[in-house]
Parts: sequence; structure tokens; C-alpha cells
Amino acid sequence: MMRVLVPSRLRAKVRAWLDSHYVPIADHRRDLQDAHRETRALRDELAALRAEVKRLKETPPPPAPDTCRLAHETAQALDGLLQNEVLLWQAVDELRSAGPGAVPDRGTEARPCA
Amino acid sequence: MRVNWTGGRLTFRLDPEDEITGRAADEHPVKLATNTCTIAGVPDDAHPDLFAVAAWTVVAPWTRRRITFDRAVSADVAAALHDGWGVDAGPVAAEPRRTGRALAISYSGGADSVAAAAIYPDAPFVHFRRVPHPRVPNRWPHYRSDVLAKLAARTGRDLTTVSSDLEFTLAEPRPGYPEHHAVAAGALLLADRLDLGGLAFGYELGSRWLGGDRYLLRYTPDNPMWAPHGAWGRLFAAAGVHIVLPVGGVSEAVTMRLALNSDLKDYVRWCLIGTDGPCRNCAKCLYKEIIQAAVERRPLDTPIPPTSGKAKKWLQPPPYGGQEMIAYGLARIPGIEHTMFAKALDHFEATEESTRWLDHCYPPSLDEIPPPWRDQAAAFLTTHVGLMTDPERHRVESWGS
Repeated sequence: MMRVLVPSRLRAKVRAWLDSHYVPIADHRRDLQDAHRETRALRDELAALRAEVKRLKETPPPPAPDTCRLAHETAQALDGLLQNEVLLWQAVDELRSAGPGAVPDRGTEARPCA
Repeated sequence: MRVNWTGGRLTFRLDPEDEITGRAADEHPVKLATNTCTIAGVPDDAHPDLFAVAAWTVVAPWTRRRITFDRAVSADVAAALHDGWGVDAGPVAAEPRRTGRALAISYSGGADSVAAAAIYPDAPFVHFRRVPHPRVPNRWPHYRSDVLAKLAARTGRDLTTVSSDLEFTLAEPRPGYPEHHAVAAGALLLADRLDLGGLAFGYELGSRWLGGDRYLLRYTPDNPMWAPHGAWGRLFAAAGVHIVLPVGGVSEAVTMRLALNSDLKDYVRWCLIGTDGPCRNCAKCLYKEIIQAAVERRPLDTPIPPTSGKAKKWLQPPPYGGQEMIAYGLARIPGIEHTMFAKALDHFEATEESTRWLDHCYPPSLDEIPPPWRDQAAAFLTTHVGLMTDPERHRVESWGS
């Protein structure tokens, strides 16, 4: 092996040149650690998002608070109205056949909307 | 009760003694929703007895003492109403209707009516299709009657589809036939045009002889709905349209086997919900899956989890509707002990041997088929199914005791 004496000024210049063109190993390590940390964070975030998608898929979106109740109650009310119409005709027919002034003698069944 | 027909539109009014809550022939309480319905595409010149019986299939539950028709009926129909229900019917003046020569099949597309169709390969179909009622909001759009009608049309059989909203006259338990026989209302009104003397239904052993579904769960030789000498049998006969139950003597396992082996197998559909196929998720699909798995001797294949509400029924002790078929399935399905039916196993000691009677035909059911159509059914069932032995007959006759 041959050793050559290099003037310190030149050495310093070469070092400066190298430093300005290449990242030192310590910085490389730090960069890799940062990238690794970032990957881990992204992975955790992705898992959380996946869990959220699964949860949303499994839970149907809740209806507007009153929709079900209103639909149910409206349907029931309409059933009652239609039934009342039948009962009204029944009473009208009975009055017609009984003649003027008669009061129909109704049964005991509850009137749907009475 | 007073009934009035305008073409195929039926309107009825309650008499003073009639009430909103009535009882169907199987004693099930039913609540009236509204007093009009329409049966589309039927002639307006059918025999008055046909109009009367068609109306009765709708209004019977709510009629207490008398019924007044808008046209005179025959003494035979009036007598059948009086004897069967204690109801005075009138006016009476018409000549009885002559019994026709043809047999049609009331075709739903389910396994039972497909089995009936297999017995009579030349019989035309009459298919009942539910349509919405103009006055009752349809809260049941998941019932895909359009899909079933399309399947019926693809069978290639001579088919008449009758569209009707009559099921919406029923408020509770939910829209459905006020009486089971209302499915035949359209066929009755078409009976003159089709020269009908008989109408075949897919009611099977469980419905006819074992008091199945929401009925009594015991041996029912005098079944008021389906025995020829029962109230309904006599009423239909009085109007010249005999009730015919070609598969009345065989179980749903047999009708399933016959249907899946028939030319119409591609059009069989017992599910009322699915569009491209059975939904596999409804209670009916689950029940039919038990039967199909048993017939095909394969493990149960259902997406319904054991924790679902539909499975809860099977955690309770019997009785169940269609109980004989549950026993049949428990005895035959491999691995049933690892399914939602594990608990039900505790209540049965079913074996293949003890449920073999469900693979054969109960002979008295053949005697009930009117003579013009009896031999064909008897020959078919003797060849393809086989008749019950005396001990097997005893299983039917001691059912529920």
C-alpha cells in the first residue's frame, strides 16, 4: 500500500466536496427510521379506516328519527279510517232499513278510531 | 252481509250483526281492512252461483247470519251455505250450474302445485297474482307477485293469470286470503269460460289430513276447508267446481321430490320475496330448505345464522306448523345436530324408519278425488310414490293423539 502525503488544504476541499454531494450514514439512518415510522402510522390508519368501513357496512344507516314511527302510525290510522268507513255504511244501512228516528243497536266491538 | 258485483269489482256491506273481526274456516281471527276489491279479466256473465261462491271466499269470515247476493243463486248453493255456516243466503231462484268437464290447476308455482301439475300434465293453470289495492297502501312491496307470474308464464302451460287486490280486504294478520279458498275466486269466475268441473289445489297431506299450518295439528278427516264433505267442499261442488287435491295424500317431501324431478323444475319457486331465485333468508326458505336437504340427503345449506330471529322458533319446543316435515328432516339431514335445529332434536325421536310413512301416499286421499280425475292421479302416485301400508296409514290416523 502506498501512502501519499496530501496537503491538508486539498484534503479539506475534497471532504467538503464529498460532504456536499453525499448524505452521511447517520442521516441515512435517521431518514430510514423516519420512513419506517411513517409506514407504521399509515398502516395503523389504514386498519382503523378498514374497521370503520366494516362497522358502517354492518350497521344500516339509522332512519331519520321519526320516519319509522310516523310510517307505522300513519298506516295504523289509515287502517282505522277504512274500517270506520265500513262501520259508517253499516250504520247508515241499518238506519235506512229501520226507518226514520231509529237508533241502531251497536255491538260491543271497539270502534277503531272512535 | 250484502254483496254487489260490478263486472269483477266486488263491494260488500256489513249487516248489523256483522263485525270487523271475524273468523276464517280454520277459526283464525281475521280483521277486515276495507270492503271493496277487484278481480281483473273475468267475464261478467258467469253463472250467479260462481259469483256467489267467489264472493263468499272473501266475505265469509265477517258474515254472521245471512248473506244477500245481488243476483239470485241456486237452491243448492243456498243449502250449502246454510248447512256449512248456518247462514241464510238469498235470493234463491237460479238453476244450479252444470258441473263442467275440465280440470284446471290453481297454480302458485310452489313445489306443491308443481307436483299437482306433474300429475295432470295437460291441465291448464289459473294463477292468482296479487296487485296493489287503490285504497290500501302497499306496505309489503317485498312480496314479488310479478316474479311469480312471470315464472308461471314461462312454464309453457295453458295459463290464465288472474290479477286481484282481494288480499288487501284483510287487515290482520296481514294482507292475504280472507279464506284459503279466495285464491280460487278468479278461477271460479272463469269456470264457465274454461268449462271447469274441478279445480286442483296443491294442498298436501299436512294441510288436508294433519291439521297443519295454523290449524289443529291433529288428524282431520272432516277438515272443513278441504274434505269433499266439509263446508267448503260441498259449496264448491254445489257450484259445479269440485275441489280436487291430487297431492292431498302425500307429504311435502314427496311434492318436493316430484316437483324437482318434473319438467317444470326450473320454474319452481316457493319464496315470495326473491327475484333472481329464492331469497334463502326468509322463514319459508328455511322451512323448505329442511325438506329439500332431507330429500337430497345433504347437509343444511342456509345463510341464516343460528342467532337470527328466524332461528329462534326452533329453540322453542313443538308444536310447529309442518311438524311432520321437521321430524322428517331431523331424521335425514347429515350434521343437523350442529345447526340451529340442534335444540329441536331434543323433542323428537325421529328416525328414517319412524318417518318413512311420509314417503308414501295416504290411500283415502285418492278416493276423495272426483271420478273423472281419480284414475290418472292414482296411477301416477302408485307408480311414482307408492301407497302407505296399514301401519303407515295408522301414523296418519293417530296424528296429534
